[in-house]
Amino acid sequence: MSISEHLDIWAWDDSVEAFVDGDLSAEEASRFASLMELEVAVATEVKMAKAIQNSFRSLAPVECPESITTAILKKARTDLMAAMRINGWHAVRKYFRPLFRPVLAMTILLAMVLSSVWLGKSTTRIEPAVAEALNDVKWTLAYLAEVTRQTGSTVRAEALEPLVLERIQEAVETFIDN
Amino acid sequence: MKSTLLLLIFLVGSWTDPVAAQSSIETDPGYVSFADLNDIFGVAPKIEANIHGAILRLVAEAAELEDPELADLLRRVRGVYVRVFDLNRLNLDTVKSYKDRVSRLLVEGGWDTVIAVRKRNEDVNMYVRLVDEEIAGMVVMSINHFDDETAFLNIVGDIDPEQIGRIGRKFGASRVSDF
Repeated sequence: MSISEHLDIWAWDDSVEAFVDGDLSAEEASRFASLMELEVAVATEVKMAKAIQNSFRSLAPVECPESITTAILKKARTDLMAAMRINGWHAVRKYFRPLFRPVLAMTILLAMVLSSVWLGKSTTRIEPAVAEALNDVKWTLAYLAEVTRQTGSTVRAEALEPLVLERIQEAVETFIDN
Repeated sequence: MKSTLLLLIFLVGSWTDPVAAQSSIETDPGYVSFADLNDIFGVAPKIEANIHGAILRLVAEAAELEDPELADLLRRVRGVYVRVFDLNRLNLDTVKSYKDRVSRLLVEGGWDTVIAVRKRNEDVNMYVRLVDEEIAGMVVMSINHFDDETAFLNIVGDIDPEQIGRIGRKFGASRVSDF
C-alpha cells in the first residue's frame, strides 16, 4: 500500500508535524505509526522532524532587536489611541446625539436672528423725507438751545444782576449797617 | 369675503390717518398756527418745517439709532413747526407788529411768558402753555439782527425744556448754520 493511498501529500506533511509534537489522538498516532512502518519516506521524514525539533530546543533564546520592539510598541500604541478616539467619538455621538440636533437648530436660529438684527441696523436706510425732517428737528432744538442761552445771558446780565441781586445786596448791607 | 372687508377697512383707515392727525393737532392746546405768515410777510421762508403725525413717528424711529434721548423726546412731541425768514427781505415793522399781536393773543389765551427780551439787536419771546401742570406746547418768536433773520417756532406736546436745551446743545450752536 502506497502512502498516497492513505493520505494526500499535504495531510501527510501536517501529520508528521502533529505526530512529532504529540498532537495526534491515540488512534491517529497508532495509524501514523503503522504508516511509518510501511513507508520509509514517512519514517525518514519523522526522523528529520524530530532532529530539527531537538536542535531548536538546544538553541539559546534569540532576543528581538530593540528597534523592532520599539517600532512594534509604537505601532500598537498608535492603533490603540486610534481605536480609543473612534470609540470615544462613538460614545460622545451616542450620548449627545439626542441633544445635537436641537442645539444645532437653536444655534442656527440664533445666528440668523443676530445677523438679521446686525444687518438690519447696519443697512437701515432712512428715507430722504424723514432724514430732512430729522435735520429740521435737530436744527429747531439747536436753535432753541441757542436762543435760550443768549436770552438767558441777557436776562441775567440786564435784569437779574442789576434789578434783583444788586438790590438784595444793598438791602443786606443796609440791614447790617443798621 | 370677510378678509376682503377687513382689508378694505384697513386701507380706508390708513388713508384717513394723516388727515385725522393733522386735524387733531390743530385742536391741540399747545398748537399755534403760523400758516398765514407767508401771506402776511409776502415772501417764502428760508426754512419751513411742518412735522407731525406719521412723519414725526418715522423721525423718532430714525433718531433711535443715533440718539435714543432725542427719540424719546420726539415720541412725546406731537408737532414741530418752524418758519425762518430772511430779515433783509421783510418790512421790520410788519414783523414786529405780527410778533406783538401773536404775543398778546397767546397771553390772552392762557400762555405763560417764559422770556421776553426786547433789545436793539435782539428781540425774543418764549411762551409755554400748561395744561394740568404739564407743558402742552412752546412758542418762540425771535428777531435777530446779528444773523438778519426772524424765526417762529412752535413745539406741540409734553416737552421738557431742560431736555430740549440738553439735546439742542449736543447739536451745537455753532452747527446751526450747518443744517
